[in-house]
Amino acid sequence: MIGRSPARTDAREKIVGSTRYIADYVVPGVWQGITLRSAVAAGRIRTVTADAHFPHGEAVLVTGQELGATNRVAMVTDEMPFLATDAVRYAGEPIALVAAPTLHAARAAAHAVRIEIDPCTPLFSLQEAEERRRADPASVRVHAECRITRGDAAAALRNAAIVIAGTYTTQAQEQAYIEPQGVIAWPGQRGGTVIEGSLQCPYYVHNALVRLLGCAPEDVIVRQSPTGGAFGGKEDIPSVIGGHAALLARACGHPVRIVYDRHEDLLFTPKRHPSIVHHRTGVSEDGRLLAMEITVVLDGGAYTTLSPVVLSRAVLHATGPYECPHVAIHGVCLGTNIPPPGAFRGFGAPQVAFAIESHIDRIAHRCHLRPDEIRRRNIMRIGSVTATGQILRESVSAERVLDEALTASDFVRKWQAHGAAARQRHRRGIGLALTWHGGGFTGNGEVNLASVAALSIEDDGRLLIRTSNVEMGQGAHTALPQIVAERLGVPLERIACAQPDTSQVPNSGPTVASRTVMVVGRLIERCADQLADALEQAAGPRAQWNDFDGALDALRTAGDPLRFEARYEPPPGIHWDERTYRGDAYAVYSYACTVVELSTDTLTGEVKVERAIAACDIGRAIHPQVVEGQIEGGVLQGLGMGLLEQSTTHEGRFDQNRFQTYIIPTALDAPEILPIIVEDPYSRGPGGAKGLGELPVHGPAPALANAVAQASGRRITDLPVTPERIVAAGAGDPASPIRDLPSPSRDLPSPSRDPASPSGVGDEKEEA
Amino acid sequence: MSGAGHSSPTILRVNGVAREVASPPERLLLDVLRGELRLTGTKRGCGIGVCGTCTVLVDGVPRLACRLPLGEIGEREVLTIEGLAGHDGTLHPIQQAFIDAGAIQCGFCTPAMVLRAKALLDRRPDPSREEIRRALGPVLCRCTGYHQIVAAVERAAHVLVRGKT
Repeated sequence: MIGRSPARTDAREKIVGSTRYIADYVVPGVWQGITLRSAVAAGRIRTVTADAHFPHGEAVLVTGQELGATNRVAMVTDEMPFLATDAVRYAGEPIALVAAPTLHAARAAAHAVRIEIDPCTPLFSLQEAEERRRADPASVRVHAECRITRGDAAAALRNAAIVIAGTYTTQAQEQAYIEPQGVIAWPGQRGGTVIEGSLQCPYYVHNALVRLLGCAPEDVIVRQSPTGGAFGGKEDIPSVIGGHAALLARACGHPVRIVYDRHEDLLFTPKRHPSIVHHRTGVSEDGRLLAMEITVVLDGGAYTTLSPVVLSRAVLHATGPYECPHVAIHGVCLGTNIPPPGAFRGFGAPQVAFAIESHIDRIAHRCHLRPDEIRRRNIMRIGSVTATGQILRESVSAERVLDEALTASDFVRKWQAHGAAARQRHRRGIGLALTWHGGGFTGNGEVNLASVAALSIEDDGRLLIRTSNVEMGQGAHTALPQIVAERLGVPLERIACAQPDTSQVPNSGPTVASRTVMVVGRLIERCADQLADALEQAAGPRAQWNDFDGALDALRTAGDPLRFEARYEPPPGIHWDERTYRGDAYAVYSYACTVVELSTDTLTGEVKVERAIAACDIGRAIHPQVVEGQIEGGVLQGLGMGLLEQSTTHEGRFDQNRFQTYIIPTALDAPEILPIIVEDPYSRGPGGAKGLGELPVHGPAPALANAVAQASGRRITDLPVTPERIVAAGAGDPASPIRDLPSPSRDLPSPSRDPASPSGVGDEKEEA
Repeated sequence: MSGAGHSSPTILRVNGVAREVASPPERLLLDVLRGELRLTGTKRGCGIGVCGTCTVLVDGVPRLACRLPLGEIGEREVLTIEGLAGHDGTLHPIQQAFIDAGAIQCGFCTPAMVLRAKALLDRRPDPSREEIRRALGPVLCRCTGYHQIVAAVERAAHVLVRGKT
């Protein structure tokens, strides 16, 4: 069953429109909740009061004052309040909640709530935060900081023949799941609550709600409702919205629904962290990486939320899949007064991939090498050592995905042809990016999670997979049954996934970090093996069974347990030191090579992406059709990040507050996308599978920027690559508005044609 | 909220049935479908006519239910996703093609995509890939990259054309 593409288990309901998302639930007596938010980005709350017009009895008001010490959202740190009570740190921060029987009545009641805030001076941009911190380190809040050191990068840079420096920036990117955020909370037993909502991590919400309500764990039940896309955007914020709804439900005694409208969702929920990445790289004349000095600066916004973990993943992926003997990486996440960024598919890795993959092309140009040549010269292979000292021992497929993508795209021939083409207004370019992604939680994360998954035999003979990992479109609830079907040799139809419900499923961890198939799938595979063993104990060797049902009957008759559990065990030989950032950062990595072909109008700066190819090694494709869908969707999100999706702020508030201004790709914007599945099995993954979900997002933006650089001769180092930026980049040379193209390396020029500066140090301009 | 009231009820022809609805004529079709008729397959993704997930067919033409007051529909026939499969549950060939081609992920845009595909194929049984992309353009999908949806429409076109010959 692994490697086949049966119809998805959720397909039938979704195609006839009978799937009930949270906004579709019919709940008798439900009230509607709304959130009252700060109008300023920084300040001190003076008063939050209901005036004489507030319709007590017909509406309820909840403020943070009544919450006391429980007013903290349990996350990486317990810092962010559910409702601000004193300091306000971003425009739109929740301050009070109102519920009433209808949305209209709730809004009317909200008019009778007076919020007064004394404003103070906010800090809006990462650039400004970085400058301020340089002048006075104590003047900016630091959400997280970490360093990775291998060898002596400073000394190696001093001795390097060539040093190339560059700075790359990315903006906030909105997940833009099409179903907005939403939850319903019911008043529960003994001060608890029952929550249903569109969410990725039932036990995150459970943990946060137990803390908020101060009740026993069993008195909070969290259920996931069918989730219309998430991409990380429903990882942390459902804990907040769930808390809000639960507080209102407790106050009014009715179930309360909070569904954000798109405007609220775009403005105030977490996005991808804006970033500034500085590279200084020492290379030999023949293009070998000698030293890498990398600084990763993330905008952590108003509260810490998930930032330490995002920063960690960012620094751990910052070198790209290249080996370098001397590496010094400094990561810092600074506090500003924008809404707290959070998780978005890739989780820090797309930002650093844009930086290194743009930078490596600039190095290639300087060394007169083709993009594929420079990469191959430095690529991670079996036995390579990462910046943290991890020795890569298996399923290291960077070179294989590179080769697959080069072949499928006819890269070398096109690169040379485009480079040699006449310098007309309309020009074509091709670019590539080679990326990696560590599967599962970083470092000791999986050990700390200690996930448990279960497989039970139900009364009707079905096998029920019990995990807290949700179906949110990515196909998890089809792939997990396939793993069991493969192991037990039973038809897929008799295996199902329980709808995640904290009263029914063990905590197998959050649905994040490309971990569901690789980590939880492995647990389920082990559960299936336990079941198989138990059946053989009860019914004798498998070859003697008449059928599976007969064996099941024997097991039942024997009175043996009908539920099998497996707990996470780290692969042997894996060690990670969180304090020194040394060791095995991830058990295994997935690799992707993305190629983008496009045409540009060098006069207007317009870019038309014609084709994208992504070769992805994921160990083993459980369901190839789902895998292709993941790759295609991820590639388009990456292209959106590269080309279209702008987030700008004014006074700390995002300008893009609707889908008319926050532009995600439509069917007309999407190019032809060719997914190539590469399978280099991982011994500890189910059927050999590694992580997939996030991998395809990293490469498209840098591949696009590299293709634009080839086509136009203009290196855009700030995302997105807008027409304005392309035009502006061409404006530096009035004598020749169209700049020279980088030369293709078919006939390698001698180094003397472009000698390194004597010191080798400095901000080299690649295209000028 | 029942049909009894000051204004006379409106007859809305939806999915082949004339339904008596109590909503006033200025109420948006999306709210009538979702709120009063419980036809929640029609989605609210943005509420301002940009995401396309509220698409229904009105006399075969795709319309945004979040922009369309009940009173403007008159005698015309509304088709929602719930009306596409046969009464016995047999899927429409377009629905089957979406399943076969893997065109469904989170499912939130799926009803609108299917209805847009139907409007296209009813008008142009053998569309080019470009025409398909143009037809699907007004509905946002964040999951798929659109390729498998386009492939589903191509597959449905083949099935429908072959079925007729």
